Amino acid sequence: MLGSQPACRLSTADLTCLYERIFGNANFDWHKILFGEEAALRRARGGPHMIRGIFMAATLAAGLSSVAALAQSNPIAERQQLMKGLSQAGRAPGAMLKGEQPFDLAAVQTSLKTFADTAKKAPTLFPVGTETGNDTAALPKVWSDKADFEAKWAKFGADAEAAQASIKDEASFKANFPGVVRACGGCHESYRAKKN
Amino acid sequence: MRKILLGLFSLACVGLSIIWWVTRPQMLTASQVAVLESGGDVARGEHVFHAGGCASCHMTPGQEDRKKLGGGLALKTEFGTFIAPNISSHPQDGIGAWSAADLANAMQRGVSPQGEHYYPAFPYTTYAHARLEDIADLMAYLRTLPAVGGKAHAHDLAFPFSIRRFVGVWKMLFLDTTPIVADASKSDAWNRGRYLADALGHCAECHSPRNALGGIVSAQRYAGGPDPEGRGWVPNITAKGLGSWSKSDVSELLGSGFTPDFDSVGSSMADVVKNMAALPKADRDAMAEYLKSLPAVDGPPKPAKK
Repeated sequence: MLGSQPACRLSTADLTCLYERIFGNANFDWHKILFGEEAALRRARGGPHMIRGIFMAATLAAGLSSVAALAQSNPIAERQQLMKGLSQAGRAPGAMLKGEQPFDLAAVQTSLKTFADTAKKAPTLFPVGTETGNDTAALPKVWSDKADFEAKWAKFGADAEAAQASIKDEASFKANFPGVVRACGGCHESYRAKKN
Repeated sequence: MRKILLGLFSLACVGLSIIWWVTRPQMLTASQVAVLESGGDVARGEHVFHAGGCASCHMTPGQEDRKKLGGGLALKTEFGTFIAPNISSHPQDGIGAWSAADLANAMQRGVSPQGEHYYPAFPYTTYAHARLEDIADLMAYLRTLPAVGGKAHAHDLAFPFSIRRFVGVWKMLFLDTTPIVADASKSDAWNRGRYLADALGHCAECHSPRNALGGIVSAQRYAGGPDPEGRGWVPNITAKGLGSWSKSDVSELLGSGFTPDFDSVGSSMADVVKNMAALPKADRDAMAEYLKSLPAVDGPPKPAKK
């Protein structure tokens, strides 16, 4: 998710070294710098680590929310998640088709709804400027033949919705479901690079 | 001085003649092509057509009919752009006027009816291992397909690859024409799968890394590598890459395009699936049997994700 911006993290050892170079002092104490002498002394005495705990939690929360914000402002990551969602939704019905799992109408309907919802959202996640980077496997044709790309999503969405109405039992599932997921290969052929 | 010049000139002549001789296109022998005269079986030929993946390159791009073989698909490689020719039954623009022996020489020796080398973008390196009977059947089937007018464009290659004669050197290095001999210690399914993969389906042509001259690195056959068309990375399909897959997983992928995770294969593999889906399930199972038997081989290192 964060692939495009490799975080430039320094280890504690690096910081200690840096501190030594600047201040010529090996007595590097994080707590002294962050929380002042008193806290450092408390810590040295083995006192409560309350402040540290709060600090850690706050950092963690800030980190998590920034990751979430990044996902929202990062169409590549978001569309990759969405595509993963499609394959996850397809797994159970796929196993049912192969007879590896008993037929479950409710699960099939849930998957079809995921397909239909995804088909509405996905085409908006390929804006100009997201052609490369972040390990995207989207081929340039997504942008050079946008009309067809969007038409294929629309057809997939319409097929999924039609199947929601027509699939009522195992027989209608076996008759109609393969036609819906045939769209996966049909679209990947033109718009996705080979992936290992 | 004149003697020296004359000597150099004759040496150059001899050298060029040797080069000319060793790079000459080599055809099948008369006794080999005799078997082709019996005429082929159309139904069996259709099967060879799908197994060999002919339509993937030769069908007219931009339409869905896999029997319209007008050619024109561009294959962009580091050597230049290859254009798949018209192999429809059109007598002038396609191969309607060809004999079965012409087709056999093209598919198994990489030589045109005019006696010129074909570039190995056409996987005759694989078809060379096929049975001649299969070529005869394929010819019978191709003759039943519609004639499509219009010749495909010529290839657009960089020098020195643009000189066809040099393909003769390439063939000396990389073309192996020995037929596949059944391995009696293996099952019928395994042998069938090997024949389908290594003599017709040409899986290894994409699923292997290639050297600077475009020859398959034989030690890393089937171990994947960069996509020859620069569209991603072709997966390793030895046990190294398919270790966690069952035979039925492999067979399922060939028939439907879906991986065990219900991901769907993309790019040219999606088209390969269309060919494989047209085969009987027993053939896909046989290929899975063979592919799953490939020992684990490390492929070339993948570039870092970007």
